[in-house]
Amino acid sequence: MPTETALAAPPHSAASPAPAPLLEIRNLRVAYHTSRGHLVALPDFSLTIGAGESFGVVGESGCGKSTLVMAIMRYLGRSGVITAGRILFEGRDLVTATEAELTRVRGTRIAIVYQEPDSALNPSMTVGRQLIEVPMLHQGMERRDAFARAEEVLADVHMADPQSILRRYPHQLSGGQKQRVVIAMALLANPSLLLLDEPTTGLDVTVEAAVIDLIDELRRKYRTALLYISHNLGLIARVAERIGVMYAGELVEEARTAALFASPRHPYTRGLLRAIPRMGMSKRDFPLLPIPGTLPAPGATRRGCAFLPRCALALPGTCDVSPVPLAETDAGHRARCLRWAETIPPSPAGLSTAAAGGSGETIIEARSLMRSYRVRRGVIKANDGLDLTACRGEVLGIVGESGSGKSTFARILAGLEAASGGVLRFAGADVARRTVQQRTPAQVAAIQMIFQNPDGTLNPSFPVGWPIARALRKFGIGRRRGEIEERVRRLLEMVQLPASARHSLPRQLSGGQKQRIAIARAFAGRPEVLIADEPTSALDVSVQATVVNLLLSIQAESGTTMVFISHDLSLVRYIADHVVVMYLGRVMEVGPTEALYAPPYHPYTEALLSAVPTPDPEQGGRRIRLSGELPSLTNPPRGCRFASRCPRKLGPICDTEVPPERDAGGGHIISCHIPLHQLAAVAPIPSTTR
Amino acid sequence: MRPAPVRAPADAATALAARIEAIETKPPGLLRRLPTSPVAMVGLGIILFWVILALVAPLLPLPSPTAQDYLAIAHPGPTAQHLLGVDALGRDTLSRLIWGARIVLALAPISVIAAYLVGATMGLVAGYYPGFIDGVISRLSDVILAFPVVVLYVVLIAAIGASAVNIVVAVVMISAPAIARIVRGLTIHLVRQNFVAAARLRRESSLFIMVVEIMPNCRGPLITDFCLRLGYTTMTIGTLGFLGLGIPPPAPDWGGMVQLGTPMLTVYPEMALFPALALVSLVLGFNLLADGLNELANAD
Repeated sequence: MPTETALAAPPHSAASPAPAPLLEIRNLRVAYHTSRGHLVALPDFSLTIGAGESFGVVGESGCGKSTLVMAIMRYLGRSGVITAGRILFEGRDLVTATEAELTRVRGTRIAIVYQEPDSALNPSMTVGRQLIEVPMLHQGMERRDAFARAEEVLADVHMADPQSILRRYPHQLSGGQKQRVVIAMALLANPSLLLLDEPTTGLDVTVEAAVIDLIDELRRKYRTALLYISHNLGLIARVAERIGVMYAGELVEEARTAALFASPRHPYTRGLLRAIPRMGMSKRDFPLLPIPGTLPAPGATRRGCAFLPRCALALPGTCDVSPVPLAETDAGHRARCLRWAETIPPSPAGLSTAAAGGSGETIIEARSLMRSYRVRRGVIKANDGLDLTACRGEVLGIVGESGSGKSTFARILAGLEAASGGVLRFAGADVARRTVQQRTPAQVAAIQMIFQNPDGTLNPSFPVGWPIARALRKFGIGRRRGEIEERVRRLLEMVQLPASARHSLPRQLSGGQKQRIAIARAFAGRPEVLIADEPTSALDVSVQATVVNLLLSIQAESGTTMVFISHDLSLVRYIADHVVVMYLGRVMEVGPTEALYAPPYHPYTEALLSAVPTPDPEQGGRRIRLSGELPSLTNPPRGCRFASRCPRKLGPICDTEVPPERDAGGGHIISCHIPLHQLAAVAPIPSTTR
Repeated sequence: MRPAPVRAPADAATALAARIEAIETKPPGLLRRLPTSPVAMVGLGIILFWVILALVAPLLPLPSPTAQDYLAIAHPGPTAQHLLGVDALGRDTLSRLIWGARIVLALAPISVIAAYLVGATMGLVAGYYPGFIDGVISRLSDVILAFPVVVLYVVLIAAIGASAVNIVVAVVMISAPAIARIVRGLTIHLVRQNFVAAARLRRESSLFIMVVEIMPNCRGPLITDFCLRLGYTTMTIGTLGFLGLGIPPPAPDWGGMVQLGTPMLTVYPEMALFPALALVSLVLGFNLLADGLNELANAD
């Protein structure tokens, strides 16, 4: 997910909140009965949303934001109970409503869009059958009228050829299309409140941008109020007029979007904003500042402020006495903090990693690298003529959407897969067709990898110190027992974990801690190249900062070359010295980070950059949205890979001829038929350059 | 926010300590939580009842299970001398039941463990090497699984002869494919996990990855299956005995005892009833234990 924000946002067009609120939650208390006892998820939650208003709730995993949505829908399941408070919706209290009343409200007045479109669509029914159910059931519409209405709504969500979509089954649609169908389904009953629980998680950034635009457009058209839940500050800023920041089941800050980003009051909000790389930021300018500590365990008893143990402003005797109220700090701006007026000490400028940047000596060189898989319907070319180089000691960022082949390249480089063709030189030797079994022990030790999902990265049956010790022994770095133990201890210290952590089982560690163990394991063999395949995409932003800082400082200290794969353009902008942009198994653009994030852009890079959610889209004015779906990898376009979706397509030449590599100087190369001077004659995407 | 130094071991250490403390309250391993499941405890109780009886059999004041009391044949019902009566050959039913428990409680676990050794190996190899090797192993298993189990046992034992060793062989041949199928499925899932990729990046051998990295992670689902399979196998051994294909006489075999008692069912029902009840109770014990384990595993 792109985690990106700007500090200033313009005032959103004032859809003034109606005097009578549409939804008013008063002192809501929700708890779960579990085998481990009674856990309070929302201790005392209050919130007001006006008619037609769009309210964003942002928070990290475990803060209770999904519980909030489920409580409003009264879908808490068998173990969840509302123990106190009221949920007034259009004047009716949903907490005391009967099941029949709830059914009426759910179908017609409140609709919900979940994170996973697959869970909302029945795989055995056509899209049409599922869509017509809503108006037929809730509005008593005739079958034919319902179909007409469904078609209309599908057109509203910008689905090309709605007639054919109605006849298809969910598995015949892409992820973005499915989410559009779910949104269409939600809108069919013309609800007055739409709940969106991370609706774009799992979608590519260009698809996400289109879905966000769509939601915004439909909100204005249907005058529906939104409650938008997300962990992504940049995304929330794009869709919401007012934002509530949630921590440990409470709103800790609530303000209009512009005010929140311009002058965050609560230390947690301020911490979140400092923990993410904002577009245009580089590792040379600022370190990312993680929020120390972890979220309190649900049900943990506390006195005073929930954020206290992690807060830099905490004052004993003040903050730990009694529960802190949500109090007004400015007009329309409320924060749950007694010391919001205090300033947090300024961040140190620059990082020790400023010295890093590569030596100029080529260590990895891929030439026409190919990797194809045979499938039933043909051949998938995951990497199709990949050319790239990385210099010793630098950070090479690889960006691209899913299906671009970036993970395939990572697996070939690591030796987990063999290439089908081409050359991949590592320190002079061709390793393209050599998997770990055929590589020399030194080559294997030299290229190590960190994986995306922290949950599968450690063997659940062994203490986490075991794979580190095993790697040391296999690579012949330690032989005697005591020596290995000492090295394990030092590696754990390097990733800021106590030596005792080696006895913990993976399930006892958090996601960020697991990733740190993975880093220690990867560095056990003193690698020359570290491949990081989306190492932070599954982590919360405050944890991401810790992992990124660690990776960068270890990388700089050891002089390791890092190949950093991500779909998060701001993060890559922050970390990388050079960036490669991939699309459908080929390189579209490559260059030094500064040059790549400024014109001339490859049209695909330009579209990617403009899709990154920023708090102020109006300011830049330029929004490039890609049309169409990602072409099939079994039958990619013959000329330029990007031709079928390119907003700046020249004509037939793009379909038939492979574009030339245009050298923009300083190693900045763009594969495009459009001449460089035309590519350079565009305005920079704002907030991507400083 | 205080200026976070690039290295802050103290913070991390406190965070971890807090985390681990919070985790200490998490439920411990499956087997240690066993006492919390009444179903599992009842099952375990029944099994332990028979295990203890079998263990102390030589110490009990019982007649030999093969000794014939000709005087008792005329009145085979329960008497003070023969608490559960005698069979048609005048042998003490109680003694034969308890000594018979020794046979079934040795034979069932030995056969199931042997079946597991073979089946798990097959499943691991099939799951780890997709394509040809998997194809051969899976098709072979399919063929065996396609036969009705009882028919297969009867044919097999009739062909190789009835003996304790051959029962083990038969159970292995017939159970291993089912076990292989479970292990194969788990292996296919586990092999894609990144900890396996990490092991390959250490140049671990395939054997190491299969046995050390993958196998221990199969144990959860296999524990339940193991108990269930003990029940099936107990039943199978009983069935074979009943069909005259069990442990050859005069050894006290529960299935054989039921068979011997069946002709007398209308006159002296206890002759067949007691061994049948013994068989049912033991199978029930294994099944209840499996149910309880399954419940505990799904409660997580």
